[in-house]
Amino acid sequence: MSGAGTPTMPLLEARRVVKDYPSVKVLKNVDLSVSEGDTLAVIGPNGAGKTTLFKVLSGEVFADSGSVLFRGADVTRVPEWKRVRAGFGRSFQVARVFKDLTAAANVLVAVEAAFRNAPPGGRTLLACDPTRTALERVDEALDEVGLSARSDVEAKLLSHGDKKRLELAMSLVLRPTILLLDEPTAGMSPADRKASVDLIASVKARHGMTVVLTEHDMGVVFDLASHVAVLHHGEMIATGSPAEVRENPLVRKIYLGSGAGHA
Amino acid sequence: MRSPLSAPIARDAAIALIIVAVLLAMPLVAPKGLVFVVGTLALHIVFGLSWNLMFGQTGLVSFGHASFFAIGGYFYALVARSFPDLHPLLGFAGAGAFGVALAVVIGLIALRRSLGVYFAILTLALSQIVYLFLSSFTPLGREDGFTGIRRPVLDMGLFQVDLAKGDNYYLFIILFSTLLCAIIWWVRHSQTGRALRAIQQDPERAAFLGINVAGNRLLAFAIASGVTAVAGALYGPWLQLLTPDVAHWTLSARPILYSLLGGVSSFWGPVAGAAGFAILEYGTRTLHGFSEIIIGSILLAVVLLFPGGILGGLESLRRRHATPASAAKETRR
Repeated sequence: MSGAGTPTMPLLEARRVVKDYPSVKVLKNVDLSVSEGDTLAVIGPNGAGKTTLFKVLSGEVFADSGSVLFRGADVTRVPEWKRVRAGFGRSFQVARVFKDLTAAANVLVAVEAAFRNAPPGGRTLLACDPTRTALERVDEALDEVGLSARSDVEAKLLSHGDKKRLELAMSLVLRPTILLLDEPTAGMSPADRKASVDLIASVKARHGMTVVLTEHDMGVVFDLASHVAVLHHGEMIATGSPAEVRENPLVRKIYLGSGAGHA
Repeated sequence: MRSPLSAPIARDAAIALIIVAVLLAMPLVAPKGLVFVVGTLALHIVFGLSWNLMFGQTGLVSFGHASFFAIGGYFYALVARSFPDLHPLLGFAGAGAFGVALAVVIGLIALRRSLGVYFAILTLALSQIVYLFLSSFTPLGREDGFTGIRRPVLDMGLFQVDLAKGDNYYLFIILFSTLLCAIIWWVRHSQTGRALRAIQQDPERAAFLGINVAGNRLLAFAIASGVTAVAGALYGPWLQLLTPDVAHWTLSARPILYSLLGGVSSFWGPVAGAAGFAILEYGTRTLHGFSEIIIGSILLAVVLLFPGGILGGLESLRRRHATPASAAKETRR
């Protein structure tokens, strides 16, 4: 991780983002800034707008006003698939995988999407099988998340935790610059949660990517995050290091409660 | 290295070879009426396979697939009449290109926002427009149809084949349909096919892998429409007559029935479905008035008893009788 303190351009930035749904204002002038190498945790009570902020950042929905910048370039109205090609990766709150495909086939789709028209190792014009390189990448990714033994299992038969792992493998083969994880440990047992945190930390260390995550579990947040942003009723009420945010009286009052700390 | 992710090319090529060999030998043993049914069946297999490339593979439901069959047919007939010296293969290819071009224009409008039932209704509306156009446009014969479509002479450089002679056009249809089926097979098992399958499973997830969902849907629609237009082009000289009925919605229902009857999740599903349907029709052809009732009841029974179609049903029977170990070893795609 880089410890440089020089002011640089943020990797991903949200400026005065507003998003309304017919009956509710979900995001009210939200500002957010993520620097390269950071792990930013967005926390807040249910209904605070975390998932909507995630959707705006990833391009699933567009902001009503305000802007989203990636490496300083305006991507506010760039659709999600183009953002992915520019370096975004994303997981979903409830793991979304291609349920009728095997775990390996799921990852293969991601690998081939990443290669697009230029598969390394080349291919002859009429060959339709995946290239050897693509298959190697699939094996590597499954191995990295610990799913090698289940590669031929249909995704719908995988456990909840394994689906999350599969999703992570699919994101990793895209070699994202920034990885958006929506509640990566939601619904997991404490043991699975611990394994997930370790996996995310090791993946981040190995690939050196920037991570933005939303999370309910404060233990996970303080284990992983280098920065924390607190969203409350669609407004960003505090940002800073985990220690700063933990000591923020407003945050303590409305969200953390007095006993919060390391799990 | 054979990976479970590789396409089952050896198996499918062997199945195709057997089927094609049997079909090519048909005129030697079967009565003329049956040969005619089988020639039509070959085109309907292409029709069903191309529809299922949209549905089973990509998740697009079209209720107007017959319009492309009809457009291809009339396009070829008109071109062949207007330019008698044009090479017939260029005419068939032209019909395919015309189908692709039309599908791209329609798809750019229809696929923009309307999916699911909206796309189905839009394509149904399109087929009604095509039907009304063909029924009222005088140069295309209106309701009397486009008559006198000739079976052409194929000039292959070194030799010529007169497709009007004997069973030549039947053999030509079988070989050409095989080529069209092979194109569908290839698309389905290629990298593009895998992306289409991902879109069918979860378009949003696919988009978050960087897959251009709209572009790939348009591609599937264009390929399916082009292939069907060629099948329609081949159909004109086979019947030597085209009526607006080839654009009727009842014909658009055929590939849907074939796919549901045979099984939508396998490449061979529509092939089995179209064959099963043809057998039912041929077997009940003398039972006037009862034919539809019998066919309808059997269709209903198959769909209710085997949600995966004929092939899905056979597969689950096979699994039930296989030992657990051998069942686990075989991971079918």
